[in-house]
Amino acid sequence: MSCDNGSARAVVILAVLLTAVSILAVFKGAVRINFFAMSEVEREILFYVRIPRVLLAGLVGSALAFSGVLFQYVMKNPLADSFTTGVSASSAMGAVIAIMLGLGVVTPLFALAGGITGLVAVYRIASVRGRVQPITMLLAGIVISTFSSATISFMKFLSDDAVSSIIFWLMGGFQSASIRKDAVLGIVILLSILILRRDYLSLDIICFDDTTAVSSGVSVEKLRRKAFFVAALLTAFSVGYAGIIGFVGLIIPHILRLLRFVRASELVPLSLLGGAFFMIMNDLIARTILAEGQELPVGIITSSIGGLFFLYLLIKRKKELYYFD
Amino acid sequence: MIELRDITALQGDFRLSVKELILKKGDFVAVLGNNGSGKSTFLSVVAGLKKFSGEYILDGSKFSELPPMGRHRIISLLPQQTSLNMPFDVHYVVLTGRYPHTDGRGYGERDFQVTEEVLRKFDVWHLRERQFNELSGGEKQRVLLARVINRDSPVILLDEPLGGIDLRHQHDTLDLLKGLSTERVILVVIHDISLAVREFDRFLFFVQGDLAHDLVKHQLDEERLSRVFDVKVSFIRHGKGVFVYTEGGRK
Amino acid sequence: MISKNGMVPRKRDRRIIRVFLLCMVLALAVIGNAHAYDRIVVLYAAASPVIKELGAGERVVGVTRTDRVFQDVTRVGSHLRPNIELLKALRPDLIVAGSRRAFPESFSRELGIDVFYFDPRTLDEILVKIRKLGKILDRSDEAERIARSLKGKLGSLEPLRYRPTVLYEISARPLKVAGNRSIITSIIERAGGVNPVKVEKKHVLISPEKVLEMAPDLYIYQVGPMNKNPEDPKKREFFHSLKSRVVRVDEYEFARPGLNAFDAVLELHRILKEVTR
Repeated sequence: MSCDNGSARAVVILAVLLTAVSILAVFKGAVRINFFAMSEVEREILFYVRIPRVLLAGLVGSALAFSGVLFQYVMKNPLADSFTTGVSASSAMGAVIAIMLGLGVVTPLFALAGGITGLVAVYRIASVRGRVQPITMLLAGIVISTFSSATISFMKFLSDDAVSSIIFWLMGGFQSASIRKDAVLGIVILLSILILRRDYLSLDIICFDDTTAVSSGVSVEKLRRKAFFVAALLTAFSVGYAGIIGFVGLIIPHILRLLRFVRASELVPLSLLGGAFFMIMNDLIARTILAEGQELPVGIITSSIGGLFFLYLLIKRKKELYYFD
Repeated sequence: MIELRDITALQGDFRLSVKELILKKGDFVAVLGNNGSGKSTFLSVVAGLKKFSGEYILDGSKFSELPPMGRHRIISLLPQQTSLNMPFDVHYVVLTGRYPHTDGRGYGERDFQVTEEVLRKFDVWHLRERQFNELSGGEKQRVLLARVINRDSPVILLDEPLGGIDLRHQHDTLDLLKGLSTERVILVVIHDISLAVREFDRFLFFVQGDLAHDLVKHQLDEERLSRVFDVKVSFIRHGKGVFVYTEGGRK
Repeated sequence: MISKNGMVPRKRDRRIIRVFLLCMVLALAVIGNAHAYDRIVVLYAAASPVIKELGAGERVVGVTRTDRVFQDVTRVGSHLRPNIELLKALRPDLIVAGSRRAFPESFSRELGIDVFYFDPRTLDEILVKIRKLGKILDRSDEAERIARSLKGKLGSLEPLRYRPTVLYEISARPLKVAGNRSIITSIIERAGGVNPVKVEKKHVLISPEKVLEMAPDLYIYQVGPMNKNPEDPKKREFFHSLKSRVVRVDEYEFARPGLNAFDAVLELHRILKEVTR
């Protein structure tokens, strides 16, 4: 099929782009490294700071784009992502609670706990007699999101001084990358891929109405639950390590669909590659655009670059957007 | 192929009941009845989409003991309405009908081959690269029919499959289905009695949730049909054909 | 104020009444001076010790939630979001604010209340501000005394063998360090060190790479509301190779541009002496 050739070509193109941007990201940074005659400090910077950071950015990008794709399938809504489901906000709430309690080191664990709590809440609210209703789930997600944001705002109010570290969780960043975090997130992503390895065809089929999907042999409810939990896991770990980074889960799958990659078997691998590419590029900009080793919060770059590109696609390709029920 | 005994299924206040029904290979069955008489619920039960009590034997095994994928390899269903919220092309929509035959990872050579044949049979081959959601109503319906037939299952359930399809394609479709029915059980919910009487050889009539009559062609009479449909029905014979004439108002 | 201490012995009550009456007399005496303010709301906690030291403490009628100097006056909320109703009800004639950003001038015009900005960025500016505050509170002599004693504190500093680089961590997550506009830079310089961060900002979001490259002689990380329970820098994986000496300090002692800043200089100087030995 021509389509399969297309996606194979896209995989190759994205893989090349990803490799290129990764190499660039390893070569460039706040500190100039002389790769041919590395000093002790330069070697330390390269192996303990820069490479872990490039990897973390890539992995978080992959995880968020992947989770976005999954949320969109589960919610049957192209606007679903870790934001709209409330998972990001509740993860951030967990993190902020940890900051308020002065538990600096275990903050990522709190983010994970917060994310999973939010997720379970959304899931419980959206389940009607064991069936999950996509629309109710979206509404529940908005409620949980709003509630979490309110909690975060309240915390912000309680401590004017800690605002900058709270804002960090709302904006995200990869400063505290380490090989250990990279490994954990890498394992989470690999596990997610493994868990869903036999579900790509059925994910496409749940884009039909439920009757059609069930009578096609797909256990719709079971699949939704599975995809939902995998997506939440990916989000919670990303938020735990890098704060809330918006837009990636929404924009990467959308761009791919506008480029006519609409099947899960294409969307998932391309989102993994595309998310990594996009995030490494953004982080590279965030940490090199200013002089003297200053950084910009990566969320600013993500939203502006992503937003502009998305706008361009929307205007150019409006006709090919989605069809709703 | 299908044996149903003392089946009941509830949907809100509505209660479907089927005392006994046996369908065999080669049965080309029209399912008839007024709105809300239980036709669609009946198809849902047979397709395994709705909980029921009673005995249901499919292809020699108890229905409840068949694995989900196995059931749907045996039965395919065309629901009354289908929606899709992803911009899939026609070829892929039809291809997804093969899902129960896969290992969940990908479609095989045979799936593509069968899909191509079916696309041609239903005269939608030329539409294969178009987006499903951009098609006209009748075209969509033909694509969805092709999707269901693509399952190549021994039992096919079609809920009002001819809606929106133009006359020529209605005839082609019915011929196709008839051809397929020699090796399978095909049940079709249909409202056009005239067409039903002309094309089918077995008739199930539903009245207020009950399977009221199970008749073959020569058992049909005007009196019974009038009672079932609550309109005056008369047969007009013309050469080889039988035309059904209906008149509103109670007899 | 008196009636609420029902459980306190009578004797003390009487003493409080006496003090109160004395204050009234003092207050009456002060009213004669048109310049002096009698009802002060301090919206910047770092200014409170100065006001107390100036002997104008009894004129303070409102402070922020976090103020640790004046315990028994009305709390009007946070320094960024004071409660306007509470503020108005106190009928202050002077507001001491931390910066124009926290409390804009337009705001004070609307309320019809004078505002004094206590926003020094260097040690010298602290002395200037103390003198100015002393002047408007009619406490110039006290201000002069305080300024001199603060300056005197720094007289005992000895020259160091060299000027060590000192990086000051404001917060660990995100990694922010003190920039050129921070009072910290002035403290470091006066203590004999040099801040390697040359960016014209108070706080600088910095790349960990840059920190490693700078390889400061001393890495100070503060602990306080801005940096709650941070991980020891040496234990952070990306600072694996950080060779700097690491010191942990209290945010209230170092990062507040008040009287404490001079003690911070002495403390830092003591550490730097060890570092350069």
